[in-house]
Amino acid sequence: VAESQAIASDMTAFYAVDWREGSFGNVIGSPGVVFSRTVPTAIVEVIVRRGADGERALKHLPAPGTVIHKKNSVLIWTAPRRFVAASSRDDVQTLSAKWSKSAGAGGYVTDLSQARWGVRIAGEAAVELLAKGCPIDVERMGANSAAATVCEGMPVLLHGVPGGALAFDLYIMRSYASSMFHWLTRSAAEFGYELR
Amino acid sequence: VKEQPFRNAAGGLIDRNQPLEFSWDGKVLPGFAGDTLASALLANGVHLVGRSFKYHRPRGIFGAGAEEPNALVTVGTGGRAEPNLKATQVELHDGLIVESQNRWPNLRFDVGQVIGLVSRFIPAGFYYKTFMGLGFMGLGFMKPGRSWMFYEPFIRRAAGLGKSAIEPDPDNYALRHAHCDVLVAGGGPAGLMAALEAARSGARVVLIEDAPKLGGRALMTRSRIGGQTGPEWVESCRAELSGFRDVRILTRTSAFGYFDHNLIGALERVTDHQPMPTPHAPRHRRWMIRARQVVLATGGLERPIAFGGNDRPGVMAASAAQTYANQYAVRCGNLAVLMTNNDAAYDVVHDLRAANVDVDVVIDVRPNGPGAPQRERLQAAGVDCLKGYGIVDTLGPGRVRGVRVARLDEGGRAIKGTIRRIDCDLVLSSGGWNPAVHLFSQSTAKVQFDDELATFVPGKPVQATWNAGGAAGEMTLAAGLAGGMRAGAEAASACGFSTSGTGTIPACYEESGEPLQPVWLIEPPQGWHNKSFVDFQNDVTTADVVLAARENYRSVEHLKRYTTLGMGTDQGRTSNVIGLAVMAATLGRPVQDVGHTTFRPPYSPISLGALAGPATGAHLTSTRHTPMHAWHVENGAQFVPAGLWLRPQAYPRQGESMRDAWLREAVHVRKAVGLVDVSTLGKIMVQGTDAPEFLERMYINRWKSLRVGRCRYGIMLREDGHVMDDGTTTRVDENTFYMTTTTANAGPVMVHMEYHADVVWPELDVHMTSVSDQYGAMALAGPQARAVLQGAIDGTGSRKSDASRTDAGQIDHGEVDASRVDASRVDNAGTDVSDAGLPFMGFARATIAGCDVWLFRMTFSGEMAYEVHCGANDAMNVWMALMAAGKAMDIAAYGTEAMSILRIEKGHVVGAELDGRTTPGDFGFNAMMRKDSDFVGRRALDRAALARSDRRRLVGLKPVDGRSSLPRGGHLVADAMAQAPNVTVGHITSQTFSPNLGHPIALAMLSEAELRMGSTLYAVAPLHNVTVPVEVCEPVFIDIQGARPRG
Repeated sequence: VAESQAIASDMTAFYAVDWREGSFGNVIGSPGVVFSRTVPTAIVEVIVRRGADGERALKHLPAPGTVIHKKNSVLIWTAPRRFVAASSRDDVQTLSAKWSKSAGAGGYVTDLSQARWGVRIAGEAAVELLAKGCPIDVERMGANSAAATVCEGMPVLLHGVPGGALAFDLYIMRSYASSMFHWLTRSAAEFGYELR
Repeated sequence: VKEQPFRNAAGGLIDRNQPLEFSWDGKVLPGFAGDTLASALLANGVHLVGRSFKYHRPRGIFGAGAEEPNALVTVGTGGRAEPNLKATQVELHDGLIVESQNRWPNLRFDVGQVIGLVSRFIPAGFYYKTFMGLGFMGLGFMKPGRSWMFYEPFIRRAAGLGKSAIEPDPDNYALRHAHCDVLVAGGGPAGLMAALEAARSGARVVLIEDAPKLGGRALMTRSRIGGQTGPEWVESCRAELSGFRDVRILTRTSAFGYFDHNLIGALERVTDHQPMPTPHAPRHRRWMIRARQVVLATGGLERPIAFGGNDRPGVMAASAAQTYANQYAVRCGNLAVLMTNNDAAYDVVHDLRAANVDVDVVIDVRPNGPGAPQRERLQAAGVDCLKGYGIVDTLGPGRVRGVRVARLDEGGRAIKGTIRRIDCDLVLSSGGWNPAVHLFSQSTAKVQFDDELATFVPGKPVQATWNAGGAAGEMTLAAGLAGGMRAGAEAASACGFSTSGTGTIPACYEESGEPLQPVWLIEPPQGWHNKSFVDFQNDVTTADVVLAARENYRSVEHLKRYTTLGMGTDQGRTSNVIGLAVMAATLGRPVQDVGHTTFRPPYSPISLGALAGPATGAHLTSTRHTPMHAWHVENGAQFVPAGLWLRPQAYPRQGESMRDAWLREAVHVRKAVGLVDVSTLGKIMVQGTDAPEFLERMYINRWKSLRVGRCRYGIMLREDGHVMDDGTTTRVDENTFYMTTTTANAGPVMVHMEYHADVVWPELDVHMTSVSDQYGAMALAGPQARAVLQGAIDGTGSRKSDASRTDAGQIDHGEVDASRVDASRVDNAGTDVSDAGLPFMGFARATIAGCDVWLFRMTFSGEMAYEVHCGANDAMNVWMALMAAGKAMDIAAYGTEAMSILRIEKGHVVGAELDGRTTPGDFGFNAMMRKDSDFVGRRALDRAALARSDRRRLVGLKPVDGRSSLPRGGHLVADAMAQAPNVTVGHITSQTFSPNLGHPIALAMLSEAELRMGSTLYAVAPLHNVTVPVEVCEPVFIDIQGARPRG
């Protein structure tokens, strides 16, 4: 078993995501896009039940198209009564417990910590890059905005990261990771990009 | 710098400080930055630029923009060679390499021009009549309808356009999505006014202009706009627009399509104008722009008047010569003749004279000629005007050297005795202007005929569309400016922006004139047969249109297809209205009654690369990988696409064929043990107090009775009673079910269930979460499966220390708190996987290699088998732990092909059988169907067609000779020798060679299956000329009693 695990650890968990730090593409001065990895320690989906309890709970949860930051995590609206919570501090048990409580009686929490691959997209061409693949109005997304959409046909969850120049966190189902990575880097080449 | 003999020493908007050189058919010619290829060719005195499509007639530059029908050229070399570009739209750059096309051996001495000698014998419809029947010239040896197959290559070689590159395209192409309040298509005077007005209101504006610079007609007019020259006014507009944060200006961009919901497609030519493309920059960018309101300011297209010999090089649209003179300082000739039916064209005379082109005479087809202001200007300039005359022929050879004109009678026919010759080297024609209604028409709105303009103008919009300027029939500069401002204001207002008093219409002066007289063609004198062309690009003459009408092709759509009028890259820009008018005259009907063809995208050609965008090669679609993909690669798997997934098809060993590999794997599973990656299964967590009730409504099975810790195979129907999907569902706890779907139907099943939960039964407390990517999954199958599993399961109950690892599952539901979450964790040490501890269709938790796993005792192969599901991050470890534990039992990974063999041997159905046409009863699943309560699709099962006793049912097939392969997709017939039509009684759904039985087998759907059981039928594949006698048998070939999976 130990031998097996040693071999397995040599194999990337995300096949063909060849993340080599450095600058690539048409970099003149600073790169237009900066990619950095986002590796939350836990991601859960929170579903709020219908009914009075659910309605009360929704008042404290993000409005459609937005996110809130609290409890060491970010809660992202994804669809009516549906949210994704991600944390870089809590483990999944802790995160689940916190948001189960917030979702009110009858809220449902499901672990998706191993189901997603995430990347932070920053830089002055970040919007231009995402607008290549996302049919939604990315130019109007601001800090703490969120959208469950598609990028180059792949389902993604996007949210605007507050602080400084606008950046985006993009989450995608892990099985799409290599396709998304290749699309991101290929599409960012005209702006110049850095893998950080 | 080489001399450009037809370039004026001053004027124009070219940059004389940037001389350029380009290659035209191998000859190096000079030009300037700011030139188009057409303006540079004309500046060098090159008028012959192409050969016509059908007759190989010499053709010259006719227009100055997108309307150009003749000057189609091939630009670039190698993989970057692109044919059929319009010289009028190709931006000149240093080193540009251009070739003429549709000629051999060269443009001047084209062998194909001999076709022109017999052109009178090959009118419209010639090919249909001659080559699609029994054959030509006695070559009727082919069957009717097949002769075209013989002749087509020769015809295509003789007639056609350019040739596309063979080499791979070295460039990349991009897609860009955008949104705006107001999109303005067209950056001419009207478009600029519309964009300005909308932008000033605060609206978010996108302005699209086809040319490298904004301005359109304002760049070539000599009229002053708001006290400024045209270019000065354009620059002031551009500067103001650029100052708005929410205005995006896209030049070198063509709006090519107007789709539903105000979605505009546009093609931006990013690097075509660069001698060396910017590294990594896309060559073309396809914009898909969703606009709340669209202003179409696409301008107008000057309509020629048809006359004999009107396709000779040196015959041009009047406005084109004006553009070349004013914008490019190019003289298209030394001595011009203008024929017109409207006053607006008279400005051309004065502009050309100012550009050193002599114009001695204007031929006005109207008996009274122009209005007083134009008449007086003409007299002051010393230019004659022949009123009531028309051109009946042009004189060559080659480029035009003169024209013959004649007086017209009241019917518009030339009077023979009045013919006279006029020398010239440039013939200009203006028959009025057509609004460019293509995009408007694409929006599904209708056009309507305007008597005053004698053309089709936009009717009532269907989408949120506004028309302005020439596109709206506002043909004067002043009207266009006003119309643009109005449209911009109304569009912005419709978006909720206030536009009151934010702008003024710049003043400009234009002469008012006499009304246009609708004249479409100059009827030649009696007995003359020289060709007058309606559609230059497709070699359609007025005689062709008349012929079509005479042969009863009276619908405009039939006319178009019979004559090819308005087809190709031209899309009827200069020809449609004339063609329709000629047809109307022939039929004796008003033009508006004849109607108009429907314009379809693209308005102008769009590169295939731009349509594909980044989706090329390996990026054609996205690819999904399982968590164990790297292991499969390392161990020599050959992959097969399964939807977007890449799955191992087999693991061939050195020197082993793929077939041998999967046969070996299939045998190995039956004799020892195998491991297959099934992570691609759809996985859905169904939670809620009403989850059992919901599942009973979605499936035909019972779910309320399923005990916690047990699994059940389920069948889901569509509303129409046909099977949608199958899979297993496990009751993890009282209100939590873990469902798997087929790989292909993971998405559709999720959508199907969410729809019913959210829309049909919102009162139910049930929620679904897709966890397909959260878990890796593998199936361990074979007689040694249990031993391997037992060896792999941790006996110590060790748990991973990594806080992110979870106990592989749904966390909790209901009123959860932290203490309950912790309490929910179970100790999985030494899980018992014996028949008692984990019976068939049972579920248990365990740990393998320190990773929490879920175990399901179920089988797809028919052997003793366990599915092992675990967190995706752990899946590689678990997979390798199982491989390590099975090493002593010779465990081997197997792929989808062996998996398919195993399931066919067991008669398990997949998508090939669940093909959307089958019901549960077709597979013998009626026993598992509830009778006492409703479920999706149940009512439909009572329909007569689904309840018929002779429906095709699942059976097995074996070749009678015990060795013949059964044809994939073959049909079953009772009598192989019967005459056609031989009625089919069934079809093969899955077939394979069974290495465990030693002969081919198949699954099939067969009517009257019970009656035919044991009988001999014939599996036929007529296209492959294959007939195999087969014995009908039960669809289970191995372990018929089903003992193996139960231990």
